[in-house]
Amino acid sequence: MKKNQKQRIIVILNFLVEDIPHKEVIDVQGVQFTIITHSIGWNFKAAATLIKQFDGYADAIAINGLVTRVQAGKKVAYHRATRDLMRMVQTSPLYTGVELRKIFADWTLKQVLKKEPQFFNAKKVLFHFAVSSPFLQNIADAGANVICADALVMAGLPFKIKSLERLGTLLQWLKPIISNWHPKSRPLITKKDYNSMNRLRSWIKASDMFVSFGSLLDQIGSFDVLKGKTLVVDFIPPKLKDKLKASGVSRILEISPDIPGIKVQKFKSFSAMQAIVDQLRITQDSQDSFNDYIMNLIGKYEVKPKKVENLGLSFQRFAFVIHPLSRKDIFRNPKLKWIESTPQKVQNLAESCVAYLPAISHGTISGIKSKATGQEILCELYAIPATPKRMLAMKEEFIYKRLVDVAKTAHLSGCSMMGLGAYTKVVGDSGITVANRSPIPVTNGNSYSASATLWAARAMVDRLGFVSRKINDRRIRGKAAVIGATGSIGKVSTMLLATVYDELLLVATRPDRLLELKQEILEKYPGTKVQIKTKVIDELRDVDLVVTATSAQNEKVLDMDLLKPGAVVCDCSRPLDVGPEDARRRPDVMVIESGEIDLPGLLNFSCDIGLPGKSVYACLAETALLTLESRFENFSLGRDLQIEQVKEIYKLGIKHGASLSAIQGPLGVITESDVENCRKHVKQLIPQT
Amino acid sequence: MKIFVTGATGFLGSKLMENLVDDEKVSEITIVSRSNPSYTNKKVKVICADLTKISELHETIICDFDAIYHLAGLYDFDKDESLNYVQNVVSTSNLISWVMSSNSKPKIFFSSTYAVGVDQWGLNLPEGPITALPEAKFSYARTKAIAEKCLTNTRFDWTVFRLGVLVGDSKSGKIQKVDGPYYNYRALKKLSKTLSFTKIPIPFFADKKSFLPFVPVDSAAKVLHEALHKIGIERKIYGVYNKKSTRVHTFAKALKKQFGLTNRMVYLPVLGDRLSSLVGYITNTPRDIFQYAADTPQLENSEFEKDFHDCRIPAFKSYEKAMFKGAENQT
Repeated sequence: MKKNQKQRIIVILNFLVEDIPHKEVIDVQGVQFTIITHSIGWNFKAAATLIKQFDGYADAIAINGLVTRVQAGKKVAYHRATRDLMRMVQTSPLYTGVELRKIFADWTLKQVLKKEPQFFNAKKVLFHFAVSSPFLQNIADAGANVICADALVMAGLPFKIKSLERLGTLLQWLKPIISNWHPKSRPLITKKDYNSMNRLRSWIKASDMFVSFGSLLDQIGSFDVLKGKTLVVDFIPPKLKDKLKASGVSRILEISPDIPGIKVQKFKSFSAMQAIVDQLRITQDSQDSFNDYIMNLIGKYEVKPKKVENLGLSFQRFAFVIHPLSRKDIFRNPKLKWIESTPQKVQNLAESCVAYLPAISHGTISGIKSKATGQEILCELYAIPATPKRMLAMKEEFIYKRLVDVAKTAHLSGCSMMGLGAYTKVVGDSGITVANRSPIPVTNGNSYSASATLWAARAMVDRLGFVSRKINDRRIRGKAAVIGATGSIGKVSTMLLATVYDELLLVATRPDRLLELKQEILEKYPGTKVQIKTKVIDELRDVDLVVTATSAQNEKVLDMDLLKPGAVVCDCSRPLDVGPEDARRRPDVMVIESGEIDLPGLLNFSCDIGLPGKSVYACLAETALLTLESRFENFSLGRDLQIEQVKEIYKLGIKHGASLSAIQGPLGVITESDVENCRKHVKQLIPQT
Repeated sequence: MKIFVTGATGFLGSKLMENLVDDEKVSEITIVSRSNPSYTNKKVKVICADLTKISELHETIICDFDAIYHLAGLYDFDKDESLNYVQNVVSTSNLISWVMSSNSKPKIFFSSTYAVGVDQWGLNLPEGPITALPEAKFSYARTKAIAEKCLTNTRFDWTVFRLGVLVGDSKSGKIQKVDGPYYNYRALKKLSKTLSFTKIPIPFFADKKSFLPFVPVDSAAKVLHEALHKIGIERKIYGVYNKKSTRVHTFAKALKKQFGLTNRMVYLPVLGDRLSSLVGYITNTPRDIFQYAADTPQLENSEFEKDFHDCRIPAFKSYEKAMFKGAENQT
């Protein structure tokens, strides 16, 4: 082939795939480029022969998929075969594209991190071929949990390299082997290596992000494994773009720039692009260095780094901490079941010892999906094996440490926030210290717990049907009492009830706070009848709904005998103010403890959390709702509730499709027959009801 | 007609040359070779060039031929796999590039192999485009498959002939070198004296029902020659073999008879890579032979039978004696 100044021949040796040779002629800025591509897999000997043939004949030789030098952190290893191959090229300039790819990789990633500093933080990022990736160091520095599939991809070895440090260590140990390693003539995992392929696919599924090369993408099989994931890639072959979008991949970050006429996608390599750009520079007799020339081109065509393309919703996770509510829950474990038949002292000892064990991963709840946005999330349940009795007896610092350890584990697992369940939020300062030390935001779930309890109370009042509502008004013609009205939960309950009830009875120990509260209510809801008392006796006889929110700790705050038939008691106190015996004694009074929540989506529980059906605790639901909303911030902390937060989380619940499900009482879940039973007893006592 | 031939000095090529030289309609035959063979016939011109080097054809000769026979390639299981790539793929790629650079539109006849289906265990190898490449360890088959794909992806008027196992001339049995089934012949010949004294079973590393698509070289050359004068065969792929050729157990029996052996045959088709290498080392047989024999796919050749009904491949029985005669001479 005879050439003139405006004709260039570029040969690309592609090591990443094996395919038929390809020839193409293109025109770039008036220069005719003949591009000959040989996709030879890792056939080094064929490459050597081809280099001998093309050296001196081609104007440039571009090598795609090989690196002379691999680096992980500070550890470096050289691949002798690659180095020797590159040294064979005597006459024609040799391009690897490493410099160009690094320029764009660094530039693009920096722009992404500027806009979203947490883009990689704590994410599980799986590298298809880490040692050859230009992103490795940048992404590791950005706080990602780096996982490398190199051992699997290069040698079929079924283990992940779980950090940059380990990759570096492996490089260090295997330096003599890597240096002299001569891969057999086979490309990276082909579709026929089913076991390795399936393993890689399972690793992709378990990660949050996948970093790969455009040339290798079709080797992972179907793209359904990328659903909900973020893909970081040097370029995307045009024929795969639509497939990727259809697969449900959440976000794509592609670093190849769009310089008119020189598209990386066309030639599947930065090396070819670098060769073309440099040959252009030479034909134009430019005095600029390559870097200066490329910067001029970028300026001339106003090339910008690509932005993250959002295609769908990314998959989020959150953690929730639970614990056994009694020793029976502990002894349900098959390995510990035998302890049930031992003497009490042994059981006590077992309960005490188990409490000091570290937290464990208990299971997951998957399938939570917002009705509003379609966002899907996963709950990772962690269990601290201490009963409430043990927790209250232990030092607070010990519990804090346990919870912070769970937070760290959850963080590494990719969880974006953590919720505290049951007594884990009762102990100590109710989450404040844990939130300060935790790497991820924390919430104790009290806002939604309060909301759900009052929601349940209102629902129960409606179900019993003894109190009427005003026509065209959501307000109730009735009287509600709050015992412990000036406390954290009591105050929030009071303010919420004031929006619904005509008449309120507020009971607390401090007169000054009661006066202040009454004034606040009358200012906001004039026309409400507010009665304040430090001690009640007969005043409760005409109350329809009693909310107890005290910290009485086993003191009797409510005399059940004073209540009228058909009254509803909503016990928000922890420990409870109304015990099972009191509830049994007054079957005509409905006592509820809390409202449980049905989260939206088709939930799948991998373990039993002690609730019927697919119900979850309101505190867990709060954590889920915040995650659905991507509100990764400390929300409910400490013992004080903020009414704004209670209202806010309630609204979030409505937005995403959460609903009230089971209502818990002192004797368990309240069923329809329990409600019917209560009505029957009321009618027996007051036939005219 | 002006014809261009690559691989003219090879086993098949030399046979084809005999036919082309005798063809009155062929006015000129140009062959390309790295060596400089001499031909007495005035029709034949020799161009000294290396097909694997991209520029040599372009600088040596213009493509203005009516037909091209591309038979050049490497068929040697003992050779380095990179050489397979260069000889089979690069040479084909360079040839295509050379044809593309000219204004002519010659017919291109390409000699491929049934081995491109070696990976499709138990599946049919239809007379159509390859859907999956053989595994990399079968470098000959894989590179032939890639080369075939290189050609079939072009817009030329190509015809691909997937030849079965080439064996000696159906009359003389003459072969150029020991290959394919001749390894079995050689191995059994070496062991025949020992085996005749003992009653130990003879292990045969192949599936006994496996189909052996033998094709005498003169039959293959005849097919290729006839293709020159046929119309309507453009952009078609043909399986050149006789489906009633022979099966492993028939061939094995014939071998036994040849050496007068009465030992029982034991068929051991499944051999891992290492065992293949070990057995190959002991019997001086390339490892790949075992795999090709063990896993022959079902081969289709209905299109070939239809379009080349006048050039059918003879049955094994008709050339069995000649084949063994040729084997005896070579071994």
